[in-house]
Amino acid sequence: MNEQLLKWLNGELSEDELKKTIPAHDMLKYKQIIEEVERWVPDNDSVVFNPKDVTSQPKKIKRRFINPWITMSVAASVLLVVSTMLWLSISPDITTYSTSTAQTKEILLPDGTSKITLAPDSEVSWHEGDWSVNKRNLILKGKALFVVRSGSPFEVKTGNGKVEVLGTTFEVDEFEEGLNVVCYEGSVKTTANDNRSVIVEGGEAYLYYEGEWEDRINIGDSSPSWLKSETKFEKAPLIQVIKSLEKLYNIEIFLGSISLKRRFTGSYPNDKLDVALQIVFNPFEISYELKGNKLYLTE
Amino acid sequence: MDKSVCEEQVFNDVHSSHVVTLRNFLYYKLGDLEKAKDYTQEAFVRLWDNCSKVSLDKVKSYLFTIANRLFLDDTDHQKVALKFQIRSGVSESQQENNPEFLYRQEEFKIRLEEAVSNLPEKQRVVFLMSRIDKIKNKEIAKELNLSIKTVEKHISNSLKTLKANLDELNGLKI
Repeated sequence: MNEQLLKWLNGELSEDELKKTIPAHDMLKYKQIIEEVERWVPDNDSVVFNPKDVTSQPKKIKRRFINPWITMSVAASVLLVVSTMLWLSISPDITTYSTSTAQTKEILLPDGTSKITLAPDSEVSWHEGDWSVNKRNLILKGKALFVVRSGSPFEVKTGNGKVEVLGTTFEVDEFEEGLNVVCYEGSVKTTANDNRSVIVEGGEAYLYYEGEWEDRINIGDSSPSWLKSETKFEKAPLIQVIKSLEKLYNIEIFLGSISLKRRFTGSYPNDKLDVALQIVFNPFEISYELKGNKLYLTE
Repeated sequence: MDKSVCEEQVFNDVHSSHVVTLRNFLYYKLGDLEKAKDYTQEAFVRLWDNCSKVSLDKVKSYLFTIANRLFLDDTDHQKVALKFQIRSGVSESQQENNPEFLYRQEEFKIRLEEAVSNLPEKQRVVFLMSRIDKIKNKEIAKELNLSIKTVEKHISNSLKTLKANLDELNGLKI
């Protein structure tokens, strides 16, 4: 009987066929129950919450404290306890936003008015204590466009140097080998790790590469090209262009023996990998082969 | 290229495919709609926080596991008394304008809600997921980590218990 009942519930057995195995009045009751329950919903409102409420919140990142002193002496382990506690007391205040490849994200900063747009595969973070009436500090890995309202000093730290501003629109592209700062409005002061600095005015760009600040580049655009449908470079080191391709298209590029001592000027589309590769590599006569998400370069 | 739940678009898709099912699941368990909604959001927050560790094909199981854990951690259980709305769009037949019929139908609904609320929790959840959310037995078994046999048993036992409870009532709603 059970089996027949289940078949009927699954729609594999008709009512008439089920009536052959169970009494008609039982059948009627089963039917009434099922028909009633199938009319029900806990709530007709299908909006439970807005997913934006989740995705716009900073992530609670759990960083594991890697213990480098585990084999050290007792004296050192006292130090370790102290520093672990310090770490624990600091870490909940870190706010981190990141983007995956091919994704950009607009983030409102804690001063309530300044905004940044993170480029693909980039990360920005700050300590709560680094935002107060007299300072606004954050740490950038990768590339971002900043729109900063005037007010207290604003500082962006990167692996290769820092950028200080008072109120402006500018872009920072930090890559392993260098730092590219483009200023669209106002002006910023940027200082490389070797303490040498340049002032970048609106409409200008400066590149720090291989330990040197290079000559000023004048830009004609009013916002970064990567926010539109293409990514534009002017006299950019080939390695900067390659890193940018990797992040945008989620590919891994194997340099082989190609010479990186070349500069690229031009723009490539943000949504057509084959065209982008042609535009970047053909002029240099670099041949390439794409296998899955791995790109092999040869010359 | 594998899609990652960390991509906002993918997360939004996951949200729209599973949010109602998850809320309903929690409602069947808790009998508290507000709490069910809060825990649903909490489950999605945890998914977002751990998006890089959860692959797309495991997302549904992950959400159900988190929801179940939130339910287990909720120590403030009250006696479950489920109340349901009539699914919008269900057509009313002419007969249903008859006041007496409507009264009996409302009476029947209340009795059935009571009987459903009194089902053992696991039976109740499986039965309602199957009938209200129209989830296939195989799928329920997968998300709740049960065998298909158990799912089937829960459903047929629920139906029999409901019938037995209602047998005590005279003349149902006919």
